[in-house]
Amino acid sequence: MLSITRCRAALIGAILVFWAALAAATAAPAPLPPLPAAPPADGTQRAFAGARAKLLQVRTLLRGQDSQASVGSGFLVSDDGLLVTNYHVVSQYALQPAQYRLVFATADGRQGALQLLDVDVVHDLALLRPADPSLLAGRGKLEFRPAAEPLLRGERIRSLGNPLDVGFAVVDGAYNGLVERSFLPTIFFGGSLSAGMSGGPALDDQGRVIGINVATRRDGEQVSFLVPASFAQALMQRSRNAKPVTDPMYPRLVAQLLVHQDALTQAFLAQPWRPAGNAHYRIPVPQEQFMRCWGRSTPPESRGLQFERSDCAMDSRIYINGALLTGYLAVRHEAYDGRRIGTLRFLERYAQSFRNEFFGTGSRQQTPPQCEERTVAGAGLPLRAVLCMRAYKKLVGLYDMSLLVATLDGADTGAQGRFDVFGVSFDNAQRLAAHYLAGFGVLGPGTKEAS
Amino acid sequence: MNAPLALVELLERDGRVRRALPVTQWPLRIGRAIDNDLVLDDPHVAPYHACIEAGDDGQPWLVALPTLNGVQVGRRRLGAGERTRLTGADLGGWTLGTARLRVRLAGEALAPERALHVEAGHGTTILFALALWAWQLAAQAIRLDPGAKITEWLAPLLGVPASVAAWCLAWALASKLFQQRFDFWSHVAVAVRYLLAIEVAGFVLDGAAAVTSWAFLSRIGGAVEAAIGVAMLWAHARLVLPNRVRSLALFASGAYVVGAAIVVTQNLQRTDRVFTELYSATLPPPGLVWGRRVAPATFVRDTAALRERLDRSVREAQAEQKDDPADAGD
Repeated sequence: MLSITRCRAALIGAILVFWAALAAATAAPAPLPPLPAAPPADGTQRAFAGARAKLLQVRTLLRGQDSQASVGSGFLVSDDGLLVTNYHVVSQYALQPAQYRLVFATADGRQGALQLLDVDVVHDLALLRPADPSLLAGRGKLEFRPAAEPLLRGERIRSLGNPLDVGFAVVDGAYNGLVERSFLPTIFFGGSLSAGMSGGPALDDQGRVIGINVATRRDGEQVSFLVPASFAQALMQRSRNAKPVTDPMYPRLVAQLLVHQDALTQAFLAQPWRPAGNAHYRIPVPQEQFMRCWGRSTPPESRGLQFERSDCAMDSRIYINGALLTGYLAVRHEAYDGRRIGTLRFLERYAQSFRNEFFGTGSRQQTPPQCEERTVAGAGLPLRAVLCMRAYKKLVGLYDMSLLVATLDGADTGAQGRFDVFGVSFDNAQRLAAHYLAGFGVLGPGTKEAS
Repeated sequence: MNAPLALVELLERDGRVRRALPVTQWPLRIGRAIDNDLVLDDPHVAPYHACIEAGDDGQPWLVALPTLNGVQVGRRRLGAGERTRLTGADLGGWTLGTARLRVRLAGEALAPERALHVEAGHGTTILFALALWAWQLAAQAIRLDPGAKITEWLAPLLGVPASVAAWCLAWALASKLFQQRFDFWSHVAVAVRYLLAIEVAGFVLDGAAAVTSWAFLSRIGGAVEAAIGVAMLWAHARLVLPNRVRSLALFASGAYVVGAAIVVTQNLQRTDRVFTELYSATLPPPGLVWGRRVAPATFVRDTAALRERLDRSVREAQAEQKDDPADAGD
């Protein structure tokens, strides 16, 4: 999953603390080897040579000491030293500026302090500048590829960064279009990204930025993801003159997340539910425009309770910190058929399945859940509904909502569904809950579900 | 021979009489020396420790003779030379050194004859035991899919009787220790009744909550079952120590209150709720959905009540953070 890798990126960065401290103690920064005199013939070599001076490593250090808390990459986007990286590379500083500081390191061994100007938490981007602009002056910048020149699927692109703090590197790969069924536009990069390359640029043949390295899938090979460059360009234009961040950025994140959740809620509410294919019940299943559904059912020879299950969730989730991903939806249902086991056994297992749900506990990020439960008269269908919500402690004004629903009309059949919403306003949570409840109903004899 | 005026009894630690001395005339002298009327073999007792004599009213008075340890009467301690009239509760127990003694006066009103609890209700106990067993077997029949292996029945078939027997055996051994009686069936009678009550109470409360949609019934299920459990322990304990029924009851209810307070405090701290259960999970069978059904819109509107509770919890978390700046991050 996207999100898991992002968490791991920070972990690996933390593990590298020891190694990096050792390296710094034993070896002076290596002098920049002379560039070859002849013009480089290979495109990859050319791309690296052209971008080398504009490429940076972005380190988050504990304020009191020089230990690295996490490392990532970044690149210059203006002549006066503005640079772009991922939000998740600098998230510790953005949320706890009193505990951390940010520094850059260039390929030729220069180092200096960085200031954080702004973030785009939804697209995982951050804009920074050096505290002393002269340190990065005269290095030039990487140009963005104009939106009017779209890439073709299969075009060669190169991703740059400092993987695992090993050293600056270039990775070859292919542009594979946008990730399908993703709510947030994300470029599918057919190459290998590693932790530490986060925030580095992906360049086209002319050395122009087409995206920013953000994540990779651990369960695949060469399935990596880039944030489209246009979001970085917009962030730069919007915030290039912003004042450096000195306080925790929670209010800014909330403002951005509220815009995101509004867009997500509206897009979701605009979609009609899809039929679940059940013979008796109308069960809400989401469209797969920006969700991915997986199905499962009991093997036909099973003697016990028969069920069909569908699990839909959004893959794009918003990284807040190592313990919190938000801004997404998940819908699940199980349709049960207990005719082989009889009413008593069915009721026991049906209640057991209803009981067997977890709504989270209190944490540093969220309050413990609070629930309302009621027997609801759906469209011709009695439903037991439990709605649980948790509030975010630091992202004030955002909530998680879980709605658990069970049909109550069958002595040996039934359906249970669960709708999870992460990081929405209270009003939108209620709107989404009403939308979900409206998706339940009974199919009359002879009627067919409209698709 | 004169009719006895009184009986002075030396008691065991568990309250049984070790030795009884009929008294036909006062005074009666008690001590370690062999020329006393009642000779006690206790190093904490003086050679001539105490004396019971008739007062002007004919009632017995207890006099402490020259002694280091004195005589404990109720909550009072008589020093050498002090005296007190033995009446009411004081007759029932007073202590010389480590020896507990009691005086029974002629003509004293006696407590009515107590029925032997062992013999009564043997048949009902067996009925309760069978009901408990059947309950467990039925629960297992529902838990297992049709055509389950016979070995999957072993737990309720043998395990339940064996564990109830082991439980009662342990209590019967305690009875043997304190009452010199191996009271197995009395403990079985207690165990099967209370265990069945726990099962039925849980089932009834959950079922009632499901049928009426009144979630509170299911919330208190755990507390009710625990209360029956505590009552069961008390009932076992009173068979072991029949003279301590009141203090056992106080202890049991005290333990229950303290336990409940701990659970509630923990719940409030961890989950901002009083009850452990987050929602009632038993679903009613169709046809038994008697609770009020609300329109989906009403339900969703009512969830607005959650907002204030959640926001208060957020404000509390923020206030805690301000008090503890080291915790400001995440």
